[in-house]
Amino acid sequence: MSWLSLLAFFLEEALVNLRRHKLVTIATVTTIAVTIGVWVLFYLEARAWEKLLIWEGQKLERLCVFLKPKADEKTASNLAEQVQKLPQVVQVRFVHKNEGLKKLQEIFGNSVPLEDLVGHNPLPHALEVTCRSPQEAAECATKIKQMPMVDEVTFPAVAVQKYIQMVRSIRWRNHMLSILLAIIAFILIFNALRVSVYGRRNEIRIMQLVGATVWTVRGPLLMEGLLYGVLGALGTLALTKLLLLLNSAFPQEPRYWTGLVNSWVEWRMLLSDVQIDGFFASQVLLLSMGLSFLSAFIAAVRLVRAV
Amino acid sequence: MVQLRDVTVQYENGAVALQNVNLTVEKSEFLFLVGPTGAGKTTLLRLLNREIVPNEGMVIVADKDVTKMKPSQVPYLRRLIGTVFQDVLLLPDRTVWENVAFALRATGASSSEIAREVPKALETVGMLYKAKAFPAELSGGEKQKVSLARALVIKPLLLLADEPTGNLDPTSSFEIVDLLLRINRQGTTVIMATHDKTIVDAYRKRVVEIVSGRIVRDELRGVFRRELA
Repeated sequence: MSWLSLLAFFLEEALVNLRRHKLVTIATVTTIAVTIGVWVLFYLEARAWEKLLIWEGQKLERLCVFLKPKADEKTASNLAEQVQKLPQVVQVRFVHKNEGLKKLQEIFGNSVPLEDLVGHNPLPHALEVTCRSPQEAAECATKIKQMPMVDEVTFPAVAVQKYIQMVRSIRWRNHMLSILLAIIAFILIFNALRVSVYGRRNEIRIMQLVGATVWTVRGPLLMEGLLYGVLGALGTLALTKLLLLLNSAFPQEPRYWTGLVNSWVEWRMLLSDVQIDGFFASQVLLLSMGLSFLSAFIAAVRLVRAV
Repeated sequence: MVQLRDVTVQYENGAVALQNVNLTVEKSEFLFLVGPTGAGKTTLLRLLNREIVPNEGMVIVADKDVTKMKPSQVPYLRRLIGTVFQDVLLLPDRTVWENVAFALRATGASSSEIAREVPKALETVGMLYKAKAFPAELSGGEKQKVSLARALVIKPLLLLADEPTGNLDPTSSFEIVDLLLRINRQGTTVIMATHDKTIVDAYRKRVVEIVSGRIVRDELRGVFRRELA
């Protein structure tokens, strides 16, 4: 058996079928292109959110640890070492009580006279702790609070909670919509292959009678699925290219997405990092072919049985 | 080549298609299978290429018990069996050559093998000169010859022909049966189900008659109806 001949046979048969059912092919390829396109959009949106939240995120990741008044510099240094060992902690900075007072003066300006405090600084030493992520800040704060000589740990708890909730809801919505779109694409591919099996019923009958194995009979259908994937990926790349062209054609005009992406996310921001290079194209191609092949595989196994 | 031992086939609706059928067909034998419509001729042929399995009994083809065969082994059995139907089942958007080559391509034959075997098969049935024609350009008899070439191209040991002359005029019918006989003389076992009295009577080959799922007659040089002999 020549595998190369068999692959060529699958490809030719699949192409014959795509030509036979042009309308079904166009509908299926368009759905795959839109599905993958929306997936790409979700990915870009997630990245845009990250960008928007980055400065806020930096604040949310930071804790302020106030030591007890009697804690001296050596105690603070030991505590800093202890905190640094926590897995969630990226950086620890010792803030001397004098530096704290200076910062306080900067914040209040001239509205509050702090001159009287010179020579008698009531502030404790403090540590500025940077965690890996806002999500880990709360857990980290609890651990530090239990350490000796720690008086108080402050962090923007409400903001962290909101941040976590927002990220979770975006992810949840994106996952749900992705699954929904994948199901729609799957149903369309399945139906396209059902039409294909009906159109090819004579070929399938002949193949079965002359002794083609069940996977040889299914081969053209799997190849057809792969071709849908390739064409769908090309469609997605074409759509992305079109968006990029529109973006560069109207550089001063801000546009807003409505519906899928929250309206306040400027759409140009989503596209700012996109480059249709080999990496981007291969990712889209893999995603599209993966979805199509999986659908075609299930369809082929269900529609063509061993007889 | 073929052995059926106490074979019974009952369909899901309860209809008994074959009942306690015993039949032996030797290698290189030519056999006419006759009987009224619905007698069980097609069921018997479908048993041999394992499109169906019997409820009872044993079916042996080329020394293989097809009733115990795993589904994955069935394609390899079918590569030993050529099949021709009344409905010729040619692919309308492909040429004669492509129709015959399709059988080889579906079994993974190489291009060189296809280039070697397709003209041989077409030459055998006298259709090489129409290799580039499409089925719509052929007569009924020519279509059946192409269908025969497609069955022959896989070099079968056993050829099953189910009413191959059913839609043909008498001249074409004799041409097809002449071809089947020629193929038989080259060593292929041929089992032909038919309603065509003229043909059965003209060739005087082994005749097996089935009525209501039972073999009622098996004659070495038989005719269509016993009472006419």
